[in-house]
Amino acid sequence: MRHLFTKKVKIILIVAMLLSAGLAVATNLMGVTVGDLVVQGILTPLRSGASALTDQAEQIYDYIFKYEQLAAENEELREQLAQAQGDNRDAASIKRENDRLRELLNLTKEHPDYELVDGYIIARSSNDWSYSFTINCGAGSGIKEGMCAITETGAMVGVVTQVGSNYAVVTSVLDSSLDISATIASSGYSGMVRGSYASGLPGMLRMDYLPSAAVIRNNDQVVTAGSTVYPRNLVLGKIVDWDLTDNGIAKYAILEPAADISSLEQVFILTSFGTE
Amino acid sequence: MFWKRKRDFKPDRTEGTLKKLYLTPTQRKGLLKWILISLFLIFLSLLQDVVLCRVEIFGATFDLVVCGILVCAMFFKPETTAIFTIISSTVYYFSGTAPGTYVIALITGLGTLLCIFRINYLQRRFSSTFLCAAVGVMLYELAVFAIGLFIGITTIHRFGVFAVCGLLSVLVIPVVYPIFLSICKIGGESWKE
Repeated sequence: MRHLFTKKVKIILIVAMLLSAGLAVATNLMGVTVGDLVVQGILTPLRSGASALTDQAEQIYDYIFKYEQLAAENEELREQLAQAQGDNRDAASIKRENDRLRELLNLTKEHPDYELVDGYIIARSSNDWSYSFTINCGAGSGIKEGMCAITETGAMVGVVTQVGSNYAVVTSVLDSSLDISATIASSGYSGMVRGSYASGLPGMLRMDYLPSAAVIRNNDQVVTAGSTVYPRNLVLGKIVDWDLTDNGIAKYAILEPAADISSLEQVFILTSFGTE
Repeated sequence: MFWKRKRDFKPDRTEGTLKKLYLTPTQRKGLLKWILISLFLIFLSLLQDVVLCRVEIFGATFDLVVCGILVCAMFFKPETTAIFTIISSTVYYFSGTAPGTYVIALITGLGTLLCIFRINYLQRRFSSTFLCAAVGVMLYELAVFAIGLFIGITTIHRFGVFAVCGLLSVLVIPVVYPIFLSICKIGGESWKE
């Protein structure tokens, strides 16, 4: 065995030990040596390529062998997403309700005699010529036929025409069958407001029986004149156009409703109010 | 007039002259053999660093490069083994995955000594290579653990992990042995003692 332990072998073993010690010192002093830079510089692109291939193979493996697990995880994440989206919608809805109630608070401060019952719209009429909607409270909440419905800002949106124990149908001001006595707030001229669907202007109101000498200006506000059904000064809309009738003895005005009835979520039924 | 005399004898083709950058077929095969050995060791390094590093068995991974160097070292004579192991272990250290500079002396010493032992006492077959390489790998892991314990970067409780790492590397020997054997057959006799 000694004949294999030649001088050359011994020298190489000594060199190996010295090299180890020398590199240890060099690494401590310099940190990164030239050898590190060269070898790792050559290996880095190879490692990057191998890593990319490995990731690709892992994806294929996951797709083939972990498909069910991934599908279940996907389903769970979809449910979580749907839940989060639902929570988000609820939060948005609650915020809108909060805003309405804040507005209503201002209204009740201005009119402390108003007694209101709030109801959410749960259904709307499905034809174009009648505008009505159903709310989720009825006789059980003190609602009766003929009571008027308003928004949180005091805009009138309709009159209760049908009442059940836990629901009520409100015919909106856009319905041509509903006549509401109204007054132009700035000038005091009185007339009757109804929906103008029959006049070819769906979504607008028409105020008739205005005197031919009445001075009418665009953007004038029109409010309720008051009756046993609804109090005075509930906003109906603003004038956007006016003209003489065909026979020329009266004027009429086209009103833009104060409330966007198609996008209403919640209305307030005026169950009681003080008469002035 | 002076004419250049034509040479009477052509140069002996068995004597290669690197001066003219002419390699004999034997030299070419030898060069090819070492290139293939280097490439295979680089492949083992990539496999360990990129793929097998994601695999943990009882908390341990493989040590493919050390296993490959020690297996390959059994095929050569001691002087060649010493040179091969010192170069390969130095490159292994510079690759950034070795635990420290002491691996150069460790792998060189283990490879050379085990090669001498195999030549003296064992035959040229798989079992002798397997035995020597396995002993080399386990001694390497033991030495790395002892040095780590001495310098304070590991604890006695981690001995099991090092042992498992050695065993896993031993299991790789039958896989890399036929590949190294095929490469070493290039240029004639596979056992270059």
